[in-house]
Amino acid sequence: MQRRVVVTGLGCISALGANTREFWSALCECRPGIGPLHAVEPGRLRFSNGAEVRGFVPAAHFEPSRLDLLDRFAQFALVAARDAVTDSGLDWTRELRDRTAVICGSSIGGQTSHDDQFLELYHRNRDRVHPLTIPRVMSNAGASHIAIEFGLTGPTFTISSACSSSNHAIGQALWMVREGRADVALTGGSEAPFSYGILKAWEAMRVVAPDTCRPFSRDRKGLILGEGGAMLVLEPLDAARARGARIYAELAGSGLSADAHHATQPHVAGPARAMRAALADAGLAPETIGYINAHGTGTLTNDPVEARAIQEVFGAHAAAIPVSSTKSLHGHALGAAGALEAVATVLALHHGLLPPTANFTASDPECGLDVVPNHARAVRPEAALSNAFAFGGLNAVLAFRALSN
Amino acid sequence: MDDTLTEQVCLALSKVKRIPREDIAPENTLESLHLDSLDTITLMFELEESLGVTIPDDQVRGIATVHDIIEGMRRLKDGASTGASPNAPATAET
Repeated sequence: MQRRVVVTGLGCISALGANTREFWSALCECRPGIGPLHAVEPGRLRFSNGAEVRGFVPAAHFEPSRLDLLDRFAQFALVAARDAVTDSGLDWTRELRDRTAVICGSSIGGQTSHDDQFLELYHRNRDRVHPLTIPRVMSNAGASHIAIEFGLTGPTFTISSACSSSNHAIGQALWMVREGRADVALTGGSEAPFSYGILKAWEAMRVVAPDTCRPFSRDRKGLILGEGGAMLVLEPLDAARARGARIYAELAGSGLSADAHHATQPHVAGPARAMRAALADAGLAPETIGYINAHGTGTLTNDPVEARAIQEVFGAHAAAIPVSSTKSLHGHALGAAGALEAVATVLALHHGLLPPTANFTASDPECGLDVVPNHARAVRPEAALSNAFAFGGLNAVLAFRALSN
Repeated sequence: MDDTLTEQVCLALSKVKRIPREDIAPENTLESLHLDSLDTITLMFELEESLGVTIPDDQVRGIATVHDIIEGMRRLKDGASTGASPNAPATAET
């Protein structure tokens, strides 16, 4: 059984706002959510900016007893999932709950809780940590709490593949719904990396920009870390039509590959193979692709390598494809990045408006792409790709096709 | 020439690359020593720890030889500001 799979619900929380509407407005108006980091005292890091979720009050979303179990990354997963489910208008039945999968991505899980509790041991010489530390820290907490909240009893798990986590999760969810192993999937990812320990670890990697994120610009200096969560509701096209659901777009394919090359250096061949695999899985000819949401971290090395991979896959057509990196707006949310960018890509197809690459200054001849600089562009692509390439050389690409009611 | 600083840089390189100290000379390029991006950031960590300096990211991007590192460390230890080339990316990337 091979079913076409469509996106019928979207939810997200990010540096661009508390919900999908605010996210999309900021993308279209090119208003980056990047600013001075509040999570760490000034002067304790060599970089000072991040894309934080601001004004988030956990107690406004969760009962105190529930919060005891929820690290910030799991809170983001739940908030995004609630929005996506409400947006989908799904009417839960017992049978549908049994047939719903929850597949989430997260790179580092509950690191804030990890940091807080181990500080008690190592720094304050306490003799015990909070007994709920393990359930807060576990990377599957987001997926598990979504299942618990909505009573969903289908296949539920978390995929961790660094910056490709969400794309791996969404691709897996696509295949499960396509093949009839689930009738609905709630899928996406969440991340909350602004613990002092994780920030110091990124500092030591020397890839974080001292100013802002300028993907594909000649004077780019690195990435800007972000946080948040995003979820998509997937269901078969026929079921969505039968219940009169709003269809945002078709999730047509997913392509995966490994570089087998290096722990951190980007590579042309692996991403190119993942893009080709996504096109093949979707049954899309390269010429149908009219937008690519790039991995586009803004580091010195990623952007030209990604440009070369796109040029290798699309040949002469590459010059005609608008390619933007929305990380310039919502930051690099690591395991949540692919989910936020999937929402951006789906909405780009749905509204016929391509989100821009923000903070763009000057073209880099090494990144010879049309990068939609600083202003959204009204275009109605037939289909789009969303790229994610992770440390460890793990690549996951999603292919979406424009489709509506 | 501050032989101590040269020795400290060469010893740090020897530790990071797991090669004999005598195989490292100031005129060697980092490429000839097969220093990749992760080796480079690990070397900067070792030097910051052993020399008690803070090495700016843009200084890392400008180095090509062992001599460049030694001179960069000398300027940092002297408290002088350092110039940097925007070329030769030498950091880990994603």
